[in-house]
Amino acid sequence: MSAIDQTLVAHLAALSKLELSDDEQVVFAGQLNEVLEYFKQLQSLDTHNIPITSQVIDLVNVTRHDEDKPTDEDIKTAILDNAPQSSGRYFKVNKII
Amino acid sequence: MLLENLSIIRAHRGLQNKEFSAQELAQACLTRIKADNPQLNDFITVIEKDALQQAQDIDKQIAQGEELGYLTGIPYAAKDIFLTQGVKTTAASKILADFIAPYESTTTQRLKRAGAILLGKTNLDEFAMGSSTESSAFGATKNPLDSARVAGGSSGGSAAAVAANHCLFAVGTDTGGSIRQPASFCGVVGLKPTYGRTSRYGVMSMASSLDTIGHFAKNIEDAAIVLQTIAGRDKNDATSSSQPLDNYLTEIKQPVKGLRIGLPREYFNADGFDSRVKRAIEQAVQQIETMVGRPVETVSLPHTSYALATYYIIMPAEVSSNLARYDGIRYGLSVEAENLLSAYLKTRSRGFGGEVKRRIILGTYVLSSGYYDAYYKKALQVRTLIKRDFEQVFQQVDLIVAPTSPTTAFKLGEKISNPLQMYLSDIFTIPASLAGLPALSLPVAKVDNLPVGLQIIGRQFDEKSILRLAYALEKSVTF
Repeated sequence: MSAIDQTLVAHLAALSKLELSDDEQVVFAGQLNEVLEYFKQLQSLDTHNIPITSQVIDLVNVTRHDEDKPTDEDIKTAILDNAPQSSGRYFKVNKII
Repeated sequence: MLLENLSIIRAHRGLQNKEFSAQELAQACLTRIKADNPQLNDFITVIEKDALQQAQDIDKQIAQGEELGYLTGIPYAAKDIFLTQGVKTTAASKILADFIAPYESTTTQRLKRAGAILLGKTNLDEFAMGSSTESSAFGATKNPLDSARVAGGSSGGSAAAVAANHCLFAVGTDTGGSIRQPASFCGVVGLKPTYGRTSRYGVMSMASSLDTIGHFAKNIEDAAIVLQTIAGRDKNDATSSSQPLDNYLTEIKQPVKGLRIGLPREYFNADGFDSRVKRAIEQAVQQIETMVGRPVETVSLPHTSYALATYYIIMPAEVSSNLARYDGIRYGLSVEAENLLSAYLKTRSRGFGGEVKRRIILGTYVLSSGYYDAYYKKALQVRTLIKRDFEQVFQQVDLIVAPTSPTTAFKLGEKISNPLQMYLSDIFTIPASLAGLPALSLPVAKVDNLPVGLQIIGRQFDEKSILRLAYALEKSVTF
């Protein structure tokens, strides 16, 4: 496991759609390395055959019927009111293709 | 009517006996908020008109002789991470600075139906990430007991609002300690129920497997009332539990004699644990021994020292996923740019603060190819070990008592430039969060005039036993 350097921070930032300045990249690398050092202690713990815990209250297969439940029109309007750009009942976005 | 002397129950009686009206009560709170907020900074948004309108409607009901529920006409505040329809909801972030919630969270909906009056939205660390509210985009909340100190976090605004008598209770969220720690710092009761006991619907997600909706109150009876109202299965939250509720108000008054209490040795040997706080906790433990009529047993939670690392892997991983939605497309800050990628980068970089970015990057790292097994998967396995530690201990004892925080409220600026130092302030609250257990912080002492909270942790869905012990202890502590 490599330590986090500025290049890796830049790569991770790109993956998370974040733009960091050079200074920020350096500071983050330092801070994150300190945190990672702290994580090293987990490596020494024997977790052979230990199952993972993703769900802490043992809920299983919580599903509902796949039915079309239209959203309240007023709520739809309120949602579109928050849109940075909209056109009629549509969100307007930058060109993708 | 002196706000300092009012609890939910006393206010309820006052309204019933027509000592004061709902409007007078709401106005008294709003006046105080207006006077204090510029200094204290506990509220981001105050909804004066709506609150007084609601109070007026309730006064009409009272005049018509309608039966009042415990929460009817009771003023409260909500952490600004709860969506409240038609009201600005910011998560204390620039990326949502002008966002108006299009729908209502289940928790605030249940409170509205019970007649509680929402006065406003309280300050928090941005997107609930922090232990001091210093990460808020709108400034830190000061501790009402010492304005040079933090109110704690991330639900600092809610804790401060109750401590400053701006409202009679407040709701918040607790993912790694964000209700319990500010409750301890501000000298109020703070309850984090079992994960899934309350509904997360309409609350902006931080870490979905850990986020728990809870509340602050001035005393245990009040805390029981609020829990009764907000808890329970919600079909809109697939992670909420169908476990039936207890009658908490009745249960808290049951005798505590015979309850088996455990004290985890690992918590008391922790680094950075202030010796005066330790002594205050030890004194509270002695009180408990007298009350339950048997010695408190020393127990062991062997994986305690791994909890912080486990949490700071799992939580940022979930955060990095949950915060991907803030992209400037459907809501929030949206920076104009030449192309879509640039729009994403600029919006998110300008909209998110440093701590949020740090956790997103850390989360992305631990989930990335090549590191996933070593970090994220490992942490999920250690989470199992931590959960099992508690299950083992709960075969011997009914409740665990521990400190809430290693220190009293620290000074503003003291920890903000060292993330790891800040993370360490959660060492006592994180393990219960990982195991999904209910936990409460009860103020039990003061050190240099700053409150100290005792943490009581219980089995999943056994909030009634926690509240029972706390109710008895509350009556015998004086400070």
